[in-house]
Amino acid sequence: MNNSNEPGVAIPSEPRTEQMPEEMSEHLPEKVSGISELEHADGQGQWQRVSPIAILYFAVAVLRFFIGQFVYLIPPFILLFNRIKDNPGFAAGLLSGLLLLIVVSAILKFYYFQYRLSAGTVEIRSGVISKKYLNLPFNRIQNIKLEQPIFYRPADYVCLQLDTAGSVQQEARLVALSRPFAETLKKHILVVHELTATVAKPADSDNSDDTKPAVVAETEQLLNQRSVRDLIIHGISNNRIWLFLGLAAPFYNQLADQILGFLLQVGIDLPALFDPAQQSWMVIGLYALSLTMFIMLLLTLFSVFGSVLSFYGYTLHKKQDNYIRRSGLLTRHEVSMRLSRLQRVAMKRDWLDMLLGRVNLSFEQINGQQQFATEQKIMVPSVTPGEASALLSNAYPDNQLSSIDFNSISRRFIWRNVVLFWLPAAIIGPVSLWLQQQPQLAALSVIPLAFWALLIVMRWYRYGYAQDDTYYYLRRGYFGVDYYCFAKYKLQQVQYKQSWLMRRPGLCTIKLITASGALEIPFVKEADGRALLEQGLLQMQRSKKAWM
Amino acid sequence: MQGGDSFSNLQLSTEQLTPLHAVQLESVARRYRLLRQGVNAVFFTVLWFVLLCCYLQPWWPLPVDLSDTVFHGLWVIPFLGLLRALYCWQSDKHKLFALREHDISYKSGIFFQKMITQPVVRIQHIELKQGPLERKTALARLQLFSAGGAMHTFEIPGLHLEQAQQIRQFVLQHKDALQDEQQQ
Repeated sequence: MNNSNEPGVAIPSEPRTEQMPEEMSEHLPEKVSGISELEHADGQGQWQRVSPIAILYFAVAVLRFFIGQFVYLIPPFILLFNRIKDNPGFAAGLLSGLLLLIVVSAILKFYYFQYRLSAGTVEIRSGVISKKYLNLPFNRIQNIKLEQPIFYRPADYVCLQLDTAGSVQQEARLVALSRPFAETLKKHILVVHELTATVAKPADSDNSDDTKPAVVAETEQLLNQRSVRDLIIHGISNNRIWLFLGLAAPFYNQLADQILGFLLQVGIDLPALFDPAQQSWMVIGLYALSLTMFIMLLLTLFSVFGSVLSFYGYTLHKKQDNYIRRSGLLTRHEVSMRLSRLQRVAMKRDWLDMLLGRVNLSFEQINGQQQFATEQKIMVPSVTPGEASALLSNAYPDNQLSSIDFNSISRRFIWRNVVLFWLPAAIIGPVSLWLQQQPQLAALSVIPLAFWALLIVMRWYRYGYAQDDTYYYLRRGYFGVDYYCFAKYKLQQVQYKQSWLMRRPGLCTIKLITASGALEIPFVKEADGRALLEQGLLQMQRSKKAWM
Repeated sequence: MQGGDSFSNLQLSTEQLTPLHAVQLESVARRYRLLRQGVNAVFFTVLWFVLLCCYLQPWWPLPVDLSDTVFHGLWVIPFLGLLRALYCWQSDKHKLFALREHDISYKSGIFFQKMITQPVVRIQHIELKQGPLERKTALARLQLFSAGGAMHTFEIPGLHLEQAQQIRQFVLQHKDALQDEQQQ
């Protein structure tokens, strides 16, 4: 990307104008003035504080910390509620003390939070008791995120989060910046990136197809947008309620007791309904079914709510070679990623997505910390297959995913899984039930076993792999189907595996490792597996392209 | 990284490249195999003596069940030790590695064979590790880290120290190595 392209910047894009404040367009005309503006704004490298609205941000953070630390104290408090009612003075004292603590610590945190911008680095000093100093050069920054909690919205402040490839401690948060300033800073950081990138790899200047879009691209180009309807569909097909259930796990017992008590009051005796001594199996089955359905419905509602909460107003823009994702109902998140950081594209559909005709597409980046993997992705929830392939083509213009023929894996995959796992279980399970005088259960166990066998066959059926000169394509899944596509030069390591039993039929398993995780292709013909690895390595070593 | 460099792989046709399955693999140091045997033998001998002392000591009468177990342990442990020694000897025999112009491979496994190939271009940093016994015997482990994550750290155990240092030098001097670092 050439600097000479920069002056052609002034055209503001249509879809973004309403979100772009007036000051922003002043920064836009040319990059250089943007930087000087920046330096002007921060008083030539003086330490300075963020806006006082950050107190609110810190207060919320402290409150969250307290809740996180003392969440297990909530149930006893509820139990002691009557006692507390008798002693309102003490409770009020405790509460106001807690409030005071939060307010004071928030103010102190705000007071000691200072940052300084100087030639190519951002420095942050923070911490009341244990001081922390962070110096982060712009060109080390992996990711820039803008986050807007709901209480920042009236005054249009944002929290700018700068991620590095390194650890969590390395991440910098500038907690309350005005949006125009944050945007300018972000732009400046991206420009620094561009400069270092172009200095570092002059050899890449021949790919003219990259520079061409750059002329137009200073304006943001809207790639995708999700409506509430899409998000509802996403909520239904992607039940992420398991997260919620996991969090609530400590309270299951109490919750179950409470619910049973409540149902008993209403006149439903759940344990009696499920007592085999009182009911026939058939009726119990029906009850179980309807209960499951009801719970599923409830969970789905939660999930829809969660989906709308996190993806409301979803937009995906492209600006030069940056992807920018904005979404969120309460806290608005803005995540941007450079195209060169993209490690692979995954298009996932489970069986419900298949029924509803939707795909979850994600642009996956480096996957340093597992728990932050979701934040590192740019996910486009529940797009139609057409939109998905348009997005894929936008990122990888020369990909052939839609037209390429997938090779299937060997049928021995089925036999291996059947003989090694399924068959022992299929013999031991029913026989042991039979021996324990449970012939009905033994007969019923055929259902899960048949389902498992079906899963094995479907797994085999879904597995497929292909490659062309530049990309690997992988297909896998059970009832749904996931597609992965990534450029060969993103490979980090390859593995070739062969067990004793695979050697005779000439099969192997290969594993392709990229910075966003590993993909395994089992039971491939030896020659094919070797070709996949060799050609990938060859492409990668020849291309000399950096992987990020 | 200089733009004018010609990349030597470019001139070769595919037949001229050594394919991965045809590379000449070197085995790890014989000293390493002996060291592992020694460690194994010492471990099981110490365990056996501890059991023997438990069985023979006069101060704490053992319950009957436990004393039976200990007695059986006295022949089970040497047997396990022998099995492990055999397994280690065989598995160490199958630990092989090879260097090509642009990548390093390491192969291991008796029944489940696995060959990991780490391209030099993608190596982020290198570690040479030596435990106390390895230091005594001038052996070293070479670890190569890529962005593939901690799960996929490439390690060659049981190299002669000077061999490990040579490989490290090869990686560091490779003209494409650590280019990602430089680009940052």
